[in-house]
Amino acid sequence: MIVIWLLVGIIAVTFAFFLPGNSTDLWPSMDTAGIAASLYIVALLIYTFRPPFPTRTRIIAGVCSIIFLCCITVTWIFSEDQSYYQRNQLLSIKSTIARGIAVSEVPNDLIVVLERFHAQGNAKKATLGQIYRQTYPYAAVQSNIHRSHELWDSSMVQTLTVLTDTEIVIVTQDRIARGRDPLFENTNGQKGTIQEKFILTAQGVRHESEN
Amino acid sequence: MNQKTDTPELKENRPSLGFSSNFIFMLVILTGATLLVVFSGQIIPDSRKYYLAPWITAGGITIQNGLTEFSGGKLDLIPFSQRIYSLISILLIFVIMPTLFFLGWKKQYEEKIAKKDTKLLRASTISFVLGGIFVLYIAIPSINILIIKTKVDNQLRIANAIQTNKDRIIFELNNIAWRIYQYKALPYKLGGGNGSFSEYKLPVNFAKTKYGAYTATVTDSTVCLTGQSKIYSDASMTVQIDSHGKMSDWQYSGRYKE
Repeated sequence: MIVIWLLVGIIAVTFAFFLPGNSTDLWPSMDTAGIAASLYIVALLIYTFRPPFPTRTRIIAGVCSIIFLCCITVTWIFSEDQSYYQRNQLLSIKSTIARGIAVSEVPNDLIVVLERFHAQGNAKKATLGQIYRQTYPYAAVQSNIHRSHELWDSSMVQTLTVLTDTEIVIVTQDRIARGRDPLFENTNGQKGTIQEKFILTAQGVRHESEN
Repeated sequence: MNQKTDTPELKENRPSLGFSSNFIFMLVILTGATLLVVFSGQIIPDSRKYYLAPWITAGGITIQNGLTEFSGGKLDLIPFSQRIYSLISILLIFVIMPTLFFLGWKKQYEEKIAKKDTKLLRASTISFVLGGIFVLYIAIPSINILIIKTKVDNQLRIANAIQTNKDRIIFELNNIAWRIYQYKALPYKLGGGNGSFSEYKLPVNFAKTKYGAYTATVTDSTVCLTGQSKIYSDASMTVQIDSHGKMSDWQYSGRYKE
């Protein structure tokens, strides 16, 4: 009888484990196998604690088994919940860092240009675009002008999208950090990553958080 | 001829081994199971030896995926060997050992009632004892683990909430800082300070947000910005902004300091 029970249990749990198919995460397989295993244990308990076991033994053993099973199940669920929470937390930190880099780097670079532009007084000899080119000679339209300091900000892309005499537009994106809308189409062809837009005119910098 | 007559005598006089009829069969199964555990233990890397807690292995993979995504890496499918180890863990914890324990117990009880096969080393005893040791080894600490896990989880979430709030305040201070620098860069006619911070006043929509309250103490060429958390009343931070809009001298107090 033990061998039959073992065979049935092993086959059922193995089948359930492989049911969701392989992925980058182990939890789908674990969960289906866990459900199958729980059902198996419940069936095993019902089968085991039938008469001739005295009622008292059946109640005590049943209650203890259910308590332990509940503890393991809750630990399991907590572990799953906590691991997903930590994973999402990491991605959330990544998004905060990416936005922080965008907001702390791009506007200041543009305001340097703005400051020089207005420092000319009323008789403006150079346009915004000309001052920008003088200040950042390496910056070409549609190129990534971000200078990565560390590995963690290497996924940042800052694209100079518009460079005219009166307007300069820089769009910042992060190749990894998730934005608010997962369906948002980024300018680099990606979907759902953060995107911040900074527009410099003679009136100042305008910031649009696009995703 | 002697042989023919001696053989039955030898059989009759053979001393009893003390084992029940299916003891050897059970011993082979248990030895096989033990070897399986030992063998898989030899080829699993140390960091993955969580036989008795497959949920830790799965959790570790999920967090590792988060770290990979954080650093811009590509996620890979889980190796087949890794999946097999996890399956073995589940089978041991939820199928093999409980079955040996409960059905061994049942058999023991039935044999006791029937008053048959009272030898000590019989299959049901081995099954009951081995399964029992394993089941209790998993079951009893589960209560303690659950209590510790709940506490740790709670502490982790509190720490994360504080850090998230701190990050948000830093982000908003950055957002205010470039606007202050812009104020200095713009001429009076465009609402700027014409090269000075001295007349700067923090706009109402920046002074109070969902996450914090901010104040700016200005001089002609520097600004001291203070951010006070709305959620954690004892948590605040200050930062200096120089005439080029650069932020420096970050100071944290209260829970932000921890």
